[in-house]
Amino acid sequence: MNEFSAFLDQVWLARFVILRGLGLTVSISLLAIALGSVLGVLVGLALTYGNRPLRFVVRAYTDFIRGTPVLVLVLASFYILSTIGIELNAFQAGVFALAVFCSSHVGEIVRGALQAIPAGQTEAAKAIGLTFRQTFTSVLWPQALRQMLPTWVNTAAEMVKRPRFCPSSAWPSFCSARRRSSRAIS
Amino acid sequence: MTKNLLEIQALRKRYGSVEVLKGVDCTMQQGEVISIIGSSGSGKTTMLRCINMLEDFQGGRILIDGEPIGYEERNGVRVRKSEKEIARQRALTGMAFQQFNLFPHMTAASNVMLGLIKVKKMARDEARSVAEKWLDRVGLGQRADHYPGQLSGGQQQRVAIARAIAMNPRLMLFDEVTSALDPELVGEVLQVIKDLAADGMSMLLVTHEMRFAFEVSSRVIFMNQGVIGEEGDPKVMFLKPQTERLAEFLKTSSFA
Repeated sequence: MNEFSAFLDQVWLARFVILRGLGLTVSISLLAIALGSVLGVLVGLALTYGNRPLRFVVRAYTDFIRGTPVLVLVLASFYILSTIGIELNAFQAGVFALAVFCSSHVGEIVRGALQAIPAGQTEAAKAIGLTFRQTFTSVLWPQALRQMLPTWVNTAAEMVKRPRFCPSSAWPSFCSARRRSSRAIS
Repeated sequence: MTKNLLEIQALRKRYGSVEVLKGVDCTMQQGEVISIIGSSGSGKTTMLRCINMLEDFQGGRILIDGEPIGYEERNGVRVRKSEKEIARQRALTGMAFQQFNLFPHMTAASNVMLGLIKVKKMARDEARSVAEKWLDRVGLGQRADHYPGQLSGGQQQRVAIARAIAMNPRLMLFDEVTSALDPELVGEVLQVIKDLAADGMSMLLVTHEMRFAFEVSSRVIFMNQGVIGEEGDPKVMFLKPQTERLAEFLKTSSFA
């Protein structure tokens, strides 16, 4: 009991640092989800409808990004991009890395949802004389959206848990701030 | 001589190395109801799908009202028409599918209205009243605001027919429209098709319902291994088949 109240004391003492970290986590996540989803839809469309060379390039992109740990992506955007003249601060690097990570996952979600729609839907739309664009906007996309919403929410939730990887030395995020503050108190 | 509504000349279609249609010739006049019968793999569905370019074809020509479908000659080379042009030509025909293929996220009325609004550029109110008229005609006026998932198979197929026919096509294509239905639901769909035939709609039906083909058709085509095996009046075809292959097919079919 004693230990628990000591813990609460520490939390209370560190409340401002923790809240600032929380705010930072939320803003990194929201930005990354927004940017990543927009980019991800484009990735998904390219994977589904792109011609062979485009599909090849985008497939390489998604497989590479999905196969790379988030921490590596964050560090790469912070340290490696600066060597080619793109200077991102820690916050920007975090958003960038997570957005890229998010886009590769959303891209696969979009591709899966579009490909899961039975071919008969496209055929029926063609048969009444719709062009591809009309078929996509009226028939395919509304169905894909319903299909991918649950998985998209999962990915978004995942994005909220990732900013702990963002460079803590410069911009303490929620978790690292808690760690540092508890160290400072003890 | 009356102008042909549909003219198929030496139609050839292959999937990879398998030739499915090996030179099909066929003409059809306005108001005719033609049933296409034959065993599976004989090419009857493929032929139907070529007519509205759901399948590309490699040889021959298909003409609707004298207008070549899907391909044109440019400097002596056969080229596929633009997607936009093909979309326009697809609207010349209406098609009903074995699996209905209604859009599940739209009500029955919206399913019918989509083509009217997007392709025919009708105003929403006008499209709605056309949709209601056709849903009434197939006996589903009361179901206009139901989603496909709330309708029985027979009702879904009737909505799908209304969706195709509301576009006012020159020719209706029916691709085994009763094959996916429970036996007790087949009758209501066939009745809708009979009513359309009575109205003078030109129709091409791929079907396994021999009794129905016998009753409704003005002509029957028997497809056999990618060519037309026999064609003619249903009474002759079903009662006095001229080829051995057709006699054999009819023996194994449900026609009795």
